[in-house]
Amino acid sequence: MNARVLTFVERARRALSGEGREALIAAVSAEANLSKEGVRAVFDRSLAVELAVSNDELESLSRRLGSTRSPPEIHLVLSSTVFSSALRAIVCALARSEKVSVSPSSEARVFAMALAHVAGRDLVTVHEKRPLSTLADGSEIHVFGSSETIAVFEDEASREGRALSVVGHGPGFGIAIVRTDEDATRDALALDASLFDQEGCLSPRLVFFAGNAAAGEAFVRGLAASFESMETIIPRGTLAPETLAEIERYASTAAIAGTLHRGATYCVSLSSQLEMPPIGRNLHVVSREGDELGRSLERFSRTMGRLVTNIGTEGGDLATRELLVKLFPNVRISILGAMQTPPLDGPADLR
Amino acid sequence: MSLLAKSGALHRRARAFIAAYETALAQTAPGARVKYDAPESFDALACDIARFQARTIPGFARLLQARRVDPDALTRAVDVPGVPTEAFKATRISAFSEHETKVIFRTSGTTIGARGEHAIRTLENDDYASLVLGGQALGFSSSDTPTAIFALTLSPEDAPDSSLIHMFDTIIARYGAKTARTYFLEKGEIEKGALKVAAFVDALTVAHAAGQRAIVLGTSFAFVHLLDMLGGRPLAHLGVDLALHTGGTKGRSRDVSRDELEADIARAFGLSSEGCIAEYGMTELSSEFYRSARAGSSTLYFEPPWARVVAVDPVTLTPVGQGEIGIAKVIDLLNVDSAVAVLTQDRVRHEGQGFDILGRFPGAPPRGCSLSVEEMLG
Repeated sequence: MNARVLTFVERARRALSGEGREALIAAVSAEANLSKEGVRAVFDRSLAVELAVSNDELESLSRRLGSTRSPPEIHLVLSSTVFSSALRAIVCALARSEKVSVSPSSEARVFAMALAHVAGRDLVTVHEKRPLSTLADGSEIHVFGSSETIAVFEDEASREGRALSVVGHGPGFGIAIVRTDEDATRDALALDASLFDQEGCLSPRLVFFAGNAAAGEAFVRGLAASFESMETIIPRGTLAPETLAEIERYASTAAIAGTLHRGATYCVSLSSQLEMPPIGRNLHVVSREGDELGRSLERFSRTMGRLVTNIGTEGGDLATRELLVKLFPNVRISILGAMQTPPLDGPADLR
Repeated sequence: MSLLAKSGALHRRARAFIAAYETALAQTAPGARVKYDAPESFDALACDIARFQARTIPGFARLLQARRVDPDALTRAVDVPGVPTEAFKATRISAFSEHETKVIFRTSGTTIGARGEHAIRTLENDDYASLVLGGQALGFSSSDTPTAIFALTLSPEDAPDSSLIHMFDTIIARYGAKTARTYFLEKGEIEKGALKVAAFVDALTVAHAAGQRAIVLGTSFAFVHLLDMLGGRPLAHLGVDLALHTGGTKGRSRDVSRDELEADIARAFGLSSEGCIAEYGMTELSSEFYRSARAGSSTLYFEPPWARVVAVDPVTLTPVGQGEIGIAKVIDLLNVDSAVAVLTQDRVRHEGQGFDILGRFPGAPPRGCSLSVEEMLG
């Protein structure tokens, strides 16, 4: 067992379940764009699943990640959008290197600093901005951010002219495959799209629905109702003006191109040709009958497979799973309703 | 009345705006403000076109419904919801059937695909407006000298679906002198010699020797490549009178600011500050806008009587105040059969006598990606 990993997870468990929990939720929600209920839902669902990891699972994870090259140091440039991702990033780094440091984003600082604090300097050190020249040869820099941010670090590492590796955890999105139009399925999908308000790479944005156009219409109508209910449980947070502007354009385009169901905080659209919905709480559904679903997924995987980081399914359908594993190798496959709560099994995007 | 007849009647009413302006223009000194009598209220025609489109284009009717706009209650053009330019990629926006289509203009493509499509039933008004307004901006009404017009674009044969090249071709056919070659971009990568610079310089030389006035038209990025390929070699001695550029440079050449580009063009061709003019148009529109001293301003784009640019808040989509920056919603009376109001992604500021373009709306930070489903599904 990697004692450092175990120690960190135990310290994180105490910090996130003890007296400080409520204060931390309040502090994170004051900083994040998520609603307070949204932050609490992340604690209750995503973080709870991650911290429920057993010692055996942790040992297995440590062994698996530790079996790869062990760099002298791993420096983590943390995400600005998904505050909770710091936990998984630190665990994975500790499993591989004796020395781990983090640079929190100025936009998601509270949670990362809280974790670094409970971890202690013996496990994790904090650098506001770390010059790569201070890293030892062979170190890795894991960047959780946009392609542009990753490129900045790649350039800097390249200018260093030393053996530094930049590992990018960049843009990505989730898709969902739905074969049955049931309340539970629609509610699960609405939950997946509501946690983190689709800021994260595991969030579904597109839905491939098995059925004809009429069935698709019924499905999106029901899905809109699920979003209405979800809003009362987990209100949407504050979106940036640029995102709100994108949603307006998307809503207009969706209405013109097909069917749009729009509420105060969500859009659900259906058509065969439409742009990817912006983040917020927006899902675009394409309905495909019979074998056409598989063919659409095949075409989609060829052009967009590299950006897909999570696939939600209803589970139990081995044929679908086999097809997805073939079309999207190394992509996480989740059960609908659990797309945002993967177990602590490695990097969220599996990259 | 049949749909075709209704469309025709609206086209005729729009044409009256162009004709009135043409008449007034003929009685106006170059560069002076044109005083014209509009044949009817701009708002009235725009709203009538919107009602026609609501009845003939189901997607537009759905947009009105989604925006809670009753077409029968419309009285102001600014209240017509804008069709986002992305919608032209997502679906056909047309008041007529496919077999009535005369031409489909397409936006330039991305690396893997989807292009916006603007189906056109008749080009009569588009061409008429291009000639009247283009003639004014380029100073043709006052020119008695044969003009050699050269374009740094593909030819119409090589790009039959380009609305820009169609417009250039319309202007060249009407005002241009016969030259051995007119278009100087060939199919292929511009970085690898598709822009025929030597042939272009030769053509300018021949025109100059013949005593012809010369005008150069082109996309902004083509001018950037031309300047790069010239490497500082001046062409000021070749008598170019005007250069017209259009569009942006981002992603198509090195990124150059508008002021820098115009200064470089002026320097290369030996032009005065008024000799470099700009055009603003797009595939989804039928009208164009010019920034030209001959059209009244060398600093602001001029709105012809048949088209208006409304700066709207990108979130509420309502007009912003005079002088404030918003997204351009273009009300185009010539878009009778498609979208009378088009919501662009361009930031603009209206300043009384015209508007300025301040670049593209930056959009949300990149998360996921903005490729269309159409592109993804292939």
